[in-house]
Amino acid sequence: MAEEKRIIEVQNLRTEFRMKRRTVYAVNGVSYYVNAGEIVGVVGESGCGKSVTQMSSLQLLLSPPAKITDGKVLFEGKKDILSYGSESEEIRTLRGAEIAMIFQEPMTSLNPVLTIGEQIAESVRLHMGMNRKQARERVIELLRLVNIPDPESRYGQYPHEFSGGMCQRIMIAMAMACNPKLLIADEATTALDVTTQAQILETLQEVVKKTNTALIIVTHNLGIVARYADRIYVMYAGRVIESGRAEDIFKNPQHAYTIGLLNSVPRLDDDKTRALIPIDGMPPNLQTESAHCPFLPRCTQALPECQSKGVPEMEERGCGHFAACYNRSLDRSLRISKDTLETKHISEERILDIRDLHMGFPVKGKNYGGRTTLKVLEGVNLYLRKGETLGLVGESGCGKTTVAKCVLRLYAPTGGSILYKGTELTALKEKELRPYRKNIQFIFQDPFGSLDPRQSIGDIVGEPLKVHHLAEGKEAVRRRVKELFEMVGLDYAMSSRAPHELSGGQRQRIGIARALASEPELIICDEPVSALDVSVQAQILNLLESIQRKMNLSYLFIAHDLSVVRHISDRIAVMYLGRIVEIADCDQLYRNPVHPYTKALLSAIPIPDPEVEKSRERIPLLGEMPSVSRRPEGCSFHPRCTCACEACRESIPQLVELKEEPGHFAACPVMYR
Amino acid sequence: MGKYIIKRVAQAFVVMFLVTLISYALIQIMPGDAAVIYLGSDAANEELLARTRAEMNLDKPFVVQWVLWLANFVRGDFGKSFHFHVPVRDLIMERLDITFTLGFFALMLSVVVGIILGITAATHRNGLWDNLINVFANVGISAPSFWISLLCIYIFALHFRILPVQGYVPPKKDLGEAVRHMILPCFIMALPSIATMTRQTRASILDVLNEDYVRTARSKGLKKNVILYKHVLKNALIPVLTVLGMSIASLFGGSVMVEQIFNIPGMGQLVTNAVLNRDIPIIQAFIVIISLVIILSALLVDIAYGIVDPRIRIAKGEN
Repeated sequence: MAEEKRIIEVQNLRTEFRMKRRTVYAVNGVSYYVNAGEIVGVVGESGCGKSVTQMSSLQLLLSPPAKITDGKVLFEGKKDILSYGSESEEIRTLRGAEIAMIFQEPMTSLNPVLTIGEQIAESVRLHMGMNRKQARERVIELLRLVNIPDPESRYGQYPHEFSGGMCQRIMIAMAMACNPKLLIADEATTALDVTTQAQILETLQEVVKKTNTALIIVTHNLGIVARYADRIYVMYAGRVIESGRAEDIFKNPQHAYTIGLLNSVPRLDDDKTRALIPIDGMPPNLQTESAHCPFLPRCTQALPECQSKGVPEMEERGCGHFAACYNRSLDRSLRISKDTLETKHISEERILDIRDLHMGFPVKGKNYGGRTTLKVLEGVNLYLRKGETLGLVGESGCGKTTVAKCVLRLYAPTGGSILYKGTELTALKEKELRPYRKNIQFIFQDPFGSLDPRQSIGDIVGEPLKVHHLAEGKEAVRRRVKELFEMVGLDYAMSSRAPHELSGGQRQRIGIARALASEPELIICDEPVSALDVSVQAQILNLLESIQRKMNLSYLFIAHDLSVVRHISDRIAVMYLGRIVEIADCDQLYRNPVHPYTKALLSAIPIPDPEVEKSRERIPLLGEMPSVSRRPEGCSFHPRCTCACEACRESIPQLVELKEEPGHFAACPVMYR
Repeated sequence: MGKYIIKRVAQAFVVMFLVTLISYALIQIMPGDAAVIYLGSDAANEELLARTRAEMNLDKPFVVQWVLWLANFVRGDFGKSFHFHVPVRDLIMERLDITFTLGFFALMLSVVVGIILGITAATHRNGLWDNLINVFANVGISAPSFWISLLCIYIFALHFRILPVQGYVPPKKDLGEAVRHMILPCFIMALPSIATMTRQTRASILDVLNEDYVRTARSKGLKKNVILYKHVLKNALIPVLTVLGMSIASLFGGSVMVEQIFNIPGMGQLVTNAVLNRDIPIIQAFIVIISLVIILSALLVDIAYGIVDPRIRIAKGEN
């Protein structure tokens, strides 16, 4: 940053939501600035006012209920753009033209009934005064810029004809359409796969640096800001509580909350013994203006003056590094080892043994009556020992959940066998299967949709007890439910509540308690933490681990995030398009990944440490994962692989054990050499 | 899209087939012998009765009767009215275009007025206009139309004397008078569907305004009206189309009462009298024609869905 050109400066912004019975003070005096060519990260848990702040500066919030009560937004040092009305001519010429936004849900952020070309072109015609023909050319150029293949023919297509990642590229093209000076990416990659996320952010970074555009990345992912941001603002309860250069914030955090966040996120380069320390409690609901530091109720490093002195102001702690925390001697030991006293007991007995599992779904073909089979699983081999956690990782659509559903016999596999303690599950009839159902339980991804909204949470947890006749009589059920509630860290007094009264983390605890009710031996966890906030993620991961030790459970842990899996897994299997491409002990896999896909997956995950990030080699992943209906010949991965050879195109590589590392298998011909 | 339409048309044919079966079954279900009803006092003549039954195919098995009746029906021979003793076809043709004209204008009125009121209400949410339109829509849905009719006749015909009380004038005879006679019945017929269209349009516009893509459109700096008419309305009209399809059916139901009140010689009046006189052929023809109209309108609505919503166009085409 040789020349410091201020693009936007926000001063003391305040936004409230005025509802009928209550007012939510969402943004409480936020100030920040962004210079040209700079990438600024805004981080914090959900509900901290990150998005609302950005939407307020452009006056995009619907009013009522939102009301901006104070503050200034200076664009290029000129007039306060808040003084323009929310639908005024002046602000409309800024929106889209000078300041553009990319939103979280790419699929719903595009209008389903207009072609993507038209959606980008209308903004070009409006702000750049181009005619239809010129606009079309500009749009095609933009689509090419964001790597949409064959832009001419895709111009006339509708959003539903694109994947989520493609839609987000289209959103970027739309945002870049009029060469804005400031780009705001509001959780732009949260809904996407890690690999797509990396591709999108690389594209953004490239475009921004090329055109000297300022970029604000709003995210809850500390890794992303560590990898891409120059400066960072940490937000909590509608305030900026710490700001500064990325290196300073990660190396020398000055606020208890920032330290808490860093302590709670799993890192790819972690030692397996590092303990995740969750931040207990929840962010405040912001319905009252707090008299002291809003983080105080959750803070583990509070001083007496935090209670007595009122809300702390931002103070300079180093060159350009500000924090609002009274405690000047915070404990910054970020890598605390967990108690190694309780060791896991993994026996050699295989509790689950999946052999050559095939699963196909009949689908209607293009022609009438023509039927083809969508082969989702193509010979999956896995085993799980008693007391062990096996992480199953891959991009969405690779068949992870299908494996889980086959094990639960929610799907009847079309081939292969699933042995549970030596019993062939695929051969059992529904009735014969029932005793096994209580032994194999399931924890779902979505804690919001997977609980019956009309049952009380006590009844939800108690249901398996009744179904499997595990407790007779009301009193016995009540006692057992109470026990389960305590086991997952919930107060039994809440048992009469409905699921919607709980937070995401509490709901996932209910999901776990329900799964534990029938005293299973094997629990299949399908992305159990991916819908949760980072601080809550750590709580749930810790809970799962401690329960495993106590009850000697085995977990099949499905996730798309390799850093989460690392913490909990003993072994890890990487899946691509219905096949296992690499399987190894946790340490082996992270130390010495062999398959190019594993390497790319690992490389796609940013580590919340800017210094580590700078020295990391990035392995790009070409294109997107094809649909299983268009599975490439030979090694499914070869079209995206940077080191594919002739052999990869011709034959399907088999899983082979590495000579130097017993127990480490990979399916890649390149490693034979 | 082509495949989707073909499939829907095939379904429509099956439904029509079943409708004819059920409506023909009326002759069996209704108490009394159809031939006796047809002949009235002449039914005492045994020989005549037997001949009539043979003419009406009543002596044959039910399925044969139905097939013969259907064959005639397709050729346009709907049988003879029991009461008027003239071909049902002639009776219906005289009246069909009156009811259709009335129905068509009522439909146009409900679409145009309903959507305009819906947009106005949605854009003035919780304002004066929204409240006024809401009151109007609630009255339109809840107040019985005979009461509204009487009220309107009292106000416009008796008090201000600007519209005629009742009656029908063919447009060929005097266009101006024809229009003047149509205004009140058209409005009364349309009122319930104007009200439902208004409410649906308002609700779905407000829904769509909360969608993420509207926020995207605003972030692009588009003008309010461009957002409303280009981005919001097309999406909001998809559920309105469903309501429209249902309105067509209720409009024809409404015609029966409105024609009685305003003494309009249309289908509704004909069929009311037919029911009172147990004039089965007229009732049968009416059921089939009404079903045809409803099935056709459902088909048009389905096709319109495909035109408005590209997702349906593709998805249904593939299935």
